[in-house]
Amino acid sequence: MSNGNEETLLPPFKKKHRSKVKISPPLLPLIDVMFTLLMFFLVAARAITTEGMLPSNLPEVGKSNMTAVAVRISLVSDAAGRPAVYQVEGESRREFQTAEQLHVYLEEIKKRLGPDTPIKISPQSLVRWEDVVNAFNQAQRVQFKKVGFERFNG
Amino acid sequence: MSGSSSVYGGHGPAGDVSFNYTPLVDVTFNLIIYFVLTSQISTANDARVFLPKPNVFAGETSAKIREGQQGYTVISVLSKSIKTKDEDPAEIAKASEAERYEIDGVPVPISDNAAGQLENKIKEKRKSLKEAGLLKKPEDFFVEVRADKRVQYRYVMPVIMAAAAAEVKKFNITAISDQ
Repeated sequence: MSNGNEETLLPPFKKKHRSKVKISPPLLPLIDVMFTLLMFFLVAARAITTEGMLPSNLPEVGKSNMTAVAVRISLVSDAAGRPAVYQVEGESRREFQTAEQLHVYLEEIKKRLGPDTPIKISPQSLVRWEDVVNAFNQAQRVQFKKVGFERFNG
Repeated sequence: MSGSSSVYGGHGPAGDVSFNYTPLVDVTFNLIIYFVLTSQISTANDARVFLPKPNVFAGETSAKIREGQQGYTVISVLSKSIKTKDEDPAEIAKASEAERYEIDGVPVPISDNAAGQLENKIKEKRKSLKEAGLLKKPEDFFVEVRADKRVQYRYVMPVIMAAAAAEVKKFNITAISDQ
């Protein structure tokens, strides 16, 4: 019977049977960007190398206190780009092919003459900078206190 | 006839065939993180300088020397060759020649007057640092030489002479300290 205040009867709630749709973000643009980044780093970057410095003190021009040079390390190369030979002039004249051999000899000199012995590095003009740095490094390694460079000698 | 088939062929159930991107993304992310952490971006300052590598490095790390220090100038000596390994005698000879100097990235041509130009630029740099209040003591100022390991000594000597003429007390030679 209707009383004018009819309630609409709704059908009982039923769980909708949703179809299982897999939702996933579009990965392709992400991969594109990542590959671009990867390419950038591969091309613009290089493997990290630990850099160091060999510190030295410079005298004023013409006022070097290395007047009495006890040991002179001459670097001689027969052609541009070729490894240099280390010729040490001191108490005697010795020649070394490698920086490690030079190091051993400098250790002996330090034991005999002490760390205050002036060492002068005298490279030829066409000697590679790497060989000069190696000679300087060996003198630093042995902890000589006075190590200097000479203008190239030919 | 079925509208689709499994990737293995045969008569599998119909469905979308898709590639699993997740492991690919994982690997790529790992590679990117690796490169971000272990690399340094090439800069114009030192892009073409192959530093010497002594067998047992006796100096200190650049980071330690530069720590809290702003009063320095970097002079690079660049080789004419950018190839790292070449057995060709012509290329070796080319690599032993310097192309130019660079002082804090500013090129200075190779010439008889290069030492004089470098000396003036070192003095200018020290003066500007002093005026900007970045140099507490003038003797703290140092010159760092980044020369290509292959160039001849005659190209590096003017840098040493310029630093000495500019009355710089400290002169640091940069090399690779990896053992």
